[in-house]
Amino acid sequence: MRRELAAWAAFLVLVAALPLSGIGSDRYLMLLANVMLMFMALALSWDVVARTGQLSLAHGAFFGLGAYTVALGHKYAALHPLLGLPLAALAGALVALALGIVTLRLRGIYFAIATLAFAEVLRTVALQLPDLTGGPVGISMPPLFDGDRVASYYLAIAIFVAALALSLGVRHSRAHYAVTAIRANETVAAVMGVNVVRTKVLTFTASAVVATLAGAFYMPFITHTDPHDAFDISRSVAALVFPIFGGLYTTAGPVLGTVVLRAFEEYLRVTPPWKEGYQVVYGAVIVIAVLFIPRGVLGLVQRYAPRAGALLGRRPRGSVPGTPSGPRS
Amino acid sequence: MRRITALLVAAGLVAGACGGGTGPSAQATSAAPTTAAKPIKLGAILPLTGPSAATGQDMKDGYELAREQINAAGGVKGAPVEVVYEDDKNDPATAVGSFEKLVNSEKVEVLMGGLASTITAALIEPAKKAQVPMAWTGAAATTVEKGFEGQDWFFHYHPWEYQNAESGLAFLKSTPYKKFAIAHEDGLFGKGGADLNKAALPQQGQEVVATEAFKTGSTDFTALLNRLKASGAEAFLVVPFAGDMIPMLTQMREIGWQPKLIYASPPSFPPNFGQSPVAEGVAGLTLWTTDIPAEASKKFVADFQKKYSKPPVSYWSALAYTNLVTVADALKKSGTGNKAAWIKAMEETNYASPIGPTLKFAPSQTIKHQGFTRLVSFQWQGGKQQIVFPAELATAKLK
Amino acid sequence: MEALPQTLLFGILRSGLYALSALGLAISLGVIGVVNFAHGEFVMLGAYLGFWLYVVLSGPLGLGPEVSPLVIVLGIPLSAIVLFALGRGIFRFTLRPLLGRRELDQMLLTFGLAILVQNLAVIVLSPQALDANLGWRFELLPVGPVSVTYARLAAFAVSMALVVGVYALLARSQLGKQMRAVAQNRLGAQVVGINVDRVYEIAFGLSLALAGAAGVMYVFQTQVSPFLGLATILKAFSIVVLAGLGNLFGVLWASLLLGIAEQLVSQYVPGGAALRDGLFFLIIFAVLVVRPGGLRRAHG
Repeated sequence: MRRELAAWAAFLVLVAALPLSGIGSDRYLMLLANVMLMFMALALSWDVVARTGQLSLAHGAFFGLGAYTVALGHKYAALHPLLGLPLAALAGALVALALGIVTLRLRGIYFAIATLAFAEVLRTVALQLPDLTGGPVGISMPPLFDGDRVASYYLAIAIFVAALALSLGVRHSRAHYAVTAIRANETVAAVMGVNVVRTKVLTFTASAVVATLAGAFYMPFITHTDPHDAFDISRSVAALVFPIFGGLYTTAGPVLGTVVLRAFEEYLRVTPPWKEGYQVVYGAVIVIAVLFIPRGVLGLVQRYAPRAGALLGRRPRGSVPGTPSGPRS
Repeated sequence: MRRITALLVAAGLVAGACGGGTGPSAQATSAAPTTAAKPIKLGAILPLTGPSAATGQDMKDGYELAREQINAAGGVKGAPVEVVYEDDKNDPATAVGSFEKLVNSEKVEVLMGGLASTITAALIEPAKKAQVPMAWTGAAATTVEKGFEGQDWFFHYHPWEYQNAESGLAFLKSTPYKKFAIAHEDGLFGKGGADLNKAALPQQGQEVVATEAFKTGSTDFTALLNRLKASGAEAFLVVPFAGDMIPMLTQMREIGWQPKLIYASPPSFPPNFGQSPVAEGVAGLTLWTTDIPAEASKKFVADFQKKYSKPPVSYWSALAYTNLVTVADALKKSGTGNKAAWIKAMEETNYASPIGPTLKFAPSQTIKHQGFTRLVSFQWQGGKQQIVFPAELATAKLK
Repeated sequence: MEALPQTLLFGILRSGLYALSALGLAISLGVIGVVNFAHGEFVMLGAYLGFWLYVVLSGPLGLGPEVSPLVIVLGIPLSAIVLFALGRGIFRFTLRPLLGRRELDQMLLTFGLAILVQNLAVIVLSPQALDANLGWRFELLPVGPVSVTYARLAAFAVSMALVVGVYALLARSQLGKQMRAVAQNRLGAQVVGINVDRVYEIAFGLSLALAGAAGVMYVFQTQVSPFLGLATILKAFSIVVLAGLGNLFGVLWASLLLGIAEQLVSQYVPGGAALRDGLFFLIIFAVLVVRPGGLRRAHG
């Protein structure tokens, strides 16, 4: 575990040093880097909920909630975005607690649909309260650190660190056994003495807070959003695609998945002849990845480069890959 | 792992940079006359994928037609024009990335393009920071206009929403109807249009008796149409997107509601809408149709048809065409690398554009350089779009 | 309250189409246990098939826009056959390998398929939405105090006929019984000698065939575009969830309920038309919270 922590510390140093490499003055690359960190945090947060066996489609909504909280904080209380962050975290926590408790008994597709419904309700609320949120016009605020992409990069790193802390923290504490047991079989876990309610609610809340923080970063970074953009389903989708591609239930997996897929997506977007077909390739990549590399890219690394894999935080012996599929037996 | 991840991060960023560096020059397409002069680079940000892809592609077609013609005629003082297209995916973060790429990496002379207001809104801050000349076709929201206040390097082609509304209101004033019902899609586009009309109609002696919002694409409007019918309105104003038009008109017939005037202003009508039986008598507001009686318009439509074997999809191709032609013309006068001179040259624009009116830039409510300010009203009569207002451009009378 | 009969009628009529598209989803979910996020995309493909049929019939064959009934009569079998074959193929090559694995993988696979199919459609077919100018779409038939278009009635009648037909298949035929057995208990079904693999394959093919048939009906209702899938998938999911996993017969009731509720909300709740989807989801959400298994207990 110490090795893993040291590895992540080294990674953070590299990441923090990135602007010094000359990239710092390239606004385009810095933008990509900022957004990359933001998505990494989102992906890490989603993965934590997945560890309890649940598929959340609400993470995009928490993202939007974070964005709007910061924007509204600025609009009504002239709150600086840095102060808006803890406010957003609080809002996210409260909403997530409520949602988590309410959806406690739901599993699988039911939970997924419930979270989707929640996301849609949030979006409708933002849209239908124009006096409060600006409605479809959206809401604006001044740019974070006056548009200084390097300064905002360091804020993004901070949020990423929070996500890392959550992911690693769950992994290296007793919570790990609790979530893994719940994922395998909730009833048996309860019998074994796991406090299922507390674990599920707490992980969901903590995860949602990180997602909210990612959104809270996005708002002043992009300066303008509207309900359609803030609560876009594609963010919930991104939140799940990256960890699944990279390797579920790990910390390196979501990070790896985000980096590879986002870089790939951007590369395809600008490169002929894929320029107008990158989303097709993206879809194909997902299909192929699921069919042939089920444990994600991380799984591949662990298989072909086991020593590198060992540094990634090895899975416990006899780990449970996931819940059995379907409603039968 | 961090080694691998760090490698991948670096690889990803390098890939992005390479994609940015080598890609666009490779696809700035052919058709440039053989000349030793260095090409002039212009940038265009469009939604080439996503829900607005059809319109974005239409814009690109307009740009390419213009580019071809400009280069065939010798380019800008002998130098060929190159347009670097960036797909914003209808996503603000991608649009900002595209902006940075075009402005900082490609170092384009002028930034063109633009469709959605929300996307443009996200570009306000980066644009103000970069102060790069912008000749922008899109955005109609007043909030966007306010964002560009005082930025004299910003030239805007499309009318602002209040100008759209003014054009519509002028037409409505010319009709004999007093009671109006409004239905609008619940997004920025719909609500903006509806609000403007709600405020202004009473001021010209016309009453809004009912207003309804709907979600675009929902295909079922009978409930709200019933309520509007019950309001006793004589005229029906609707601000939808293209896909809502036919279901809405069909359902109006189903519930037996036939207002005396149906006035619709979607950004564009569905293709072949005119041939549909429900289109008869529907009036609308638009920047341009293929039937506008102007020489430049007819030439544009003919050239477009010849190059692409299909007619323009919407007015956005004509707008994009106008965009590039005027930017290139200004560059001919000012030369490259001279922003102040380009601004001055743009201010002198006096172009008989395919859109119909002569394009000249003049101050609008907030910004200094506004291009088109007026929309025309038309009505489908016998499958053909007849211009019914303003009188000087009319080809038929309102039925 | 004069709008009430019409509101109810329209709600009932609309539910037919919802039931058809939801049933396909319910079958793949109930029998195979696969969450098919790409279901809406297959509805979209069916719609395109129906549209092309219309173009071919009314254009080159010169039959004019009066071909509406033909489009249905020919389009549904055509679409069903093509999509059935496609469904079996997709099942064999992508889903079958995933059957023992976690639900997440299957959801992700079908989700990737959805992105793939939708964007392929955008590239190959063009993102421009298309309208079939079927004359029949706009002709009205008076029904009591209201008028409805033939199109709306036909969509309802045909959808219902298909749904009832599938129910008959499930209840009476050998295959149907096998499917229900597998839906209830896979291990038990295998023990009894049912070729579960074959049942899965056929069920998935059937699921897509129903999606395709629903798609053809959409040609009469709305524009055909590559984005049609998005619009249909969320409602279909909601109906399936409401009916309860594995409850195939409940889909009909759930569709009726949601179809009518949707219309009532649009008509009588202030601002309902715009809030409709949000309220829709709120209702789903509330039902799920109160009855996590859906409205009815799952039964064979």
